[in-house]
Amino acid sequence: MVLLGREKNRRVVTAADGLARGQGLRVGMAAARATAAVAALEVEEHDPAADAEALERLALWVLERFSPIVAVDGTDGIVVDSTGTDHLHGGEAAMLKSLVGRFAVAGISARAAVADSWGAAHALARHGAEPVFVAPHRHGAAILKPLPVEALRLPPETAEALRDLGFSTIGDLLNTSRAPLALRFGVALTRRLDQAGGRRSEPIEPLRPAESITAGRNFAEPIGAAETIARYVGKLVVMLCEELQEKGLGVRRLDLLCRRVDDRVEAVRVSTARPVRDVGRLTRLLCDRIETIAPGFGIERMTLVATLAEPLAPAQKLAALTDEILPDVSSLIDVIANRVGEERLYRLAPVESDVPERSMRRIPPLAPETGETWRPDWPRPSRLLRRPEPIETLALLPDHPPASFTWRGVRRRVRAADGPERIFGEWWKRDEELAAVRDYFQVEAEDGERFWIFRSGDGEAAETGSQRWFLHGLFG
Amino acid sequence: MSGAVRRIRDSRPAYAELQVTTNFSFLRGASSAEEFFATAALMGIDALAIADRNSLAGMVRAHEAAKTTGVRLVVGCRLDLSGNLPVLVYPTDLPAYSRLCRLLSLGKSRAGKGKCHLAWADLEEHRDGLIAVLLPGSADADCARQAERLAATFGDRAYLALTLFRRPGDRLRLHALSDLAAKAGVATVVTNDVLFHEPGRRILQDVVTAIRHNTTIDQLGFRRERHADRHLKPPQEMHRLFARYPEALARTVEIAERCRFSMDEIAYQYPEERDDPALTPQQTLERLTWEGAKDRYPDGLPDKVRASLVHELTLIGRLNYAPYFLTVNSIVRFARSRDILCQGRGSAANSAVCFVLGITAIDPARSDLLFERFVSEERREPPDIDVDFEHERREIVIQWIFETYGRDRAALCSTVIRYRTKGRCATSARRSACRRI
Repeated sequence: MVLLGREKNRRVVTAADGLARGQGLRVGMAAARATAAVAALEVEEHDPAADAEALERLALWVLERFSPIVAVDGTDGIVVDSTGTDHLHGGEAAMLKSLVGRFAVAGISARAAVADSWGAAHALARHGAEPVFVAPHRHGAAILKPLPVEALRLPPETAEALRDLGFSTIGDLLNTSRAPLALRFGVALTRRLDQAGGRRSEPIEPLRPAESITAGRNFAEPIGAAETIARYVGKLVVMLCEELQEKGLGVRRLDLLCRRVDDRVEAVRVSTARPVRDVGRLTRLLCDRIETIAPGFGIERMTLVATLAEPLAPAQKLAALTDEILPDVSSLIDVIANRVGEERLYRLAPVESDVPERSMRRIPPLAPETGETWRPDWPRPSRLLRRPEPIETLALLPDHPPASFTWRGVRRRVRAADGPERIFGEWWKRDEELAAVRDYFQVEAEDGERFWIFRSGDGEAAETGSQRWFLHGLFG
Repeated sequence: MSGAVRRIRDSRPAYAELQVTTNFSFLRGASSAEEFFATAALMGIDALAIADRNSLAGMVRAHEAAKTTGVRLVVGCRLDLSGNLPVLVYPTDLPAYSRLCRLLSLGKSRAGKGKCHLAWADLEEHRDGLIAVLLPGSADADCARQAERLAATFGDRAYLALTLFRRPGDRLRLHALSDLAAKAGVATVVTNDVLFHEPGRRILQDVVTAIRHNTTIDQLGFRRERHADRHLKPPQEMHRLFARYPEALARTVEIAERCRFSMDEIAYQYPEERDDPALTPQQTLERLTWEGAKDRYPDGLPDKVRASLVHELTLIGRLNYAPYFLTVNSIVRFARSRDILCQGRGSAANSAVCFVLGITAIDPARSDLLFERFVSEERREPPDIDVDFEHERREIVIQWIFETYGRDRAALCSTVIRYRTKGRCATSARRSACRRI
């Protein structure tokens, strides 16, 4: 399939999919030649306006989920400033993988790169070797050396002229002196080189959803002190909440965008588990993050954008005056989640599995009650070791608890014990568990401490396990 | 040979396994009676009691397996009573066995297809001659009350089962149950609650449990049989596990000794078919035979046929099969009176008596019939006369049978389909949620 469009006066191929390219069709080829070369060619009209709209929609989607500063980059890309927000997604690499993965699920194949500057990231994403690439911090211009000159976002004539003169990679350009280059090609080339190398800043104009609720304020005198920022944040939150109240909405994701004197935008994003309209809570969440804002030479405009707002209807807290108010932990969850990241906060729910490592799963902190619970009368340790640790024991086979055991170098004598609780492996999960058996014992040592230990194997048959002993958990 | 076997057995600790669930407890037991008895013979277990759930369907196979392997069979049944703990019952003699059968029929006739509703009151009514073993869960007040009631109803035939579940706190549970039984005046006995004959069968057991709950094995969760080893264990192992309860172990053999009822005691009881009560069934049959012969051969009875008839009647008389022939004759006569097409087939076609009675249609004068194919003295099996009825009107015959012989004494036999490999794989594949190739 190819897309046809007009270039000057000719009809040319503006885009070709993998199969078409495999047949030898290239972008820029004449339309007539393309249709003649390949027999059953699917042809669509290139609609640049629709493409741009779709790209903007994608960018808005990324804005909602990944970072407050997102913009469209050219006709086929999106640029994101992820300073300060990548930790919420588990790190830069995880964030990129998640992004590319989500696009893939929607049927869009994407390449991504993280770097210190817009120019470098643009170049690495389009021309880098790997489809997903995280550049090391403070990489400088060296990383761009192997990339072709087209990666510098130059007008096509300039790129062609450079090639004619023998410059094929950015490395070639960096090795030459700048003055002759500037003379021949103008300041645009050196500016692009500086932007890519990180020596010149290139602020991103953040995209904003059309109907989002905002509250903004300009400063005649740029501000920089933390207390001043905090004070104005408070005022903006009040303004925002009034507007939210009028529309009956609560905010789930709130972005604070501070435009500095040098046109760079610093952003802070907070998210909440439930829609919130409370001035105090939102101010506190934002002020917690003020230290991540670098004011530079001063902030001249602060905007508060409610990127994601959901309906928040007034709800009755008490059915009768004698009822107790159920404590609302969502405020605590928001504070913690905004500090350490949402994925790090979870609740445990039971899973019907005999194998202790598999007997629980993580659910979001505010998920509704599942109704399942663990049996209270079967003793389970309050701390389960991530990996069972081997211990040395003295025990009578096949099913007596040990008389003593040594764990982490300390020998303990067993005063009392209960067991074995015989657990069979889950044979449908792994072949190794076909005959596997674990005999668990709850033992109490002489000093009163209780441990949960097990023997891998039933003490008789060799295929049920290695017959070695392990410590799996601690009571109390 | 048997003396040597007995000597070997005497040196091993004595144990009888009283709770074995065969695959006739559908989708619960994972091994067949043949496999159980073969394993028991190898292990030196004295006797096996088959106790399927609310059913005696597996007894015949168990009986045959017992005869082949030399391990004694104790007939038993597990009754799942509504609102009560389950009870194992063992009949001690033939009348008790009849009572147990009637009890099961009562429960099943109330409940509909595949189910059985029995309450404690029903068991109480049918209690004579039955030994009852209560299957407790935990040693709580409810269990104590039921144990006391069991003692009151069954007297010295009441027991409480001790089974090792291998769950946390099991040793303590057994200890508490032992105390509870002593207080209630019920003796304890050890069982293993066996579901399969060797440890490797556990996986099949999980699969059939998934089939029973109509779910995949991943979703089965705690509905699996967890924890314990539900396979047949040798007597030394049982003695080692229950070393603290030697009397309970000894009582397994005691119960096995008390239940001397064997399926061999069951004999056929035929219905009264005689028009003239002065004649015995054999005499009635002979009279009908000669009358029928006259009808079939109006020109005179050929000598060959006469000789056959005499031979067959003598054999029938010796083996006491006359009532059976009379019953089949009544049914066929009824069908013919209503002009319902019917025909005997199969090995019954070898009988001249059947021909003259009008049951079959192969003329002994024209063909050589071998009666020994049908009834043989060596085999000692009762005869099996298959009669096909016109299918559109066979319901009339069925209804007549029910009305004449009574609804409680006539039954439609069903066949149990056994999975062959293809069907087994298909269902197992569904349970494992994998694709059919």
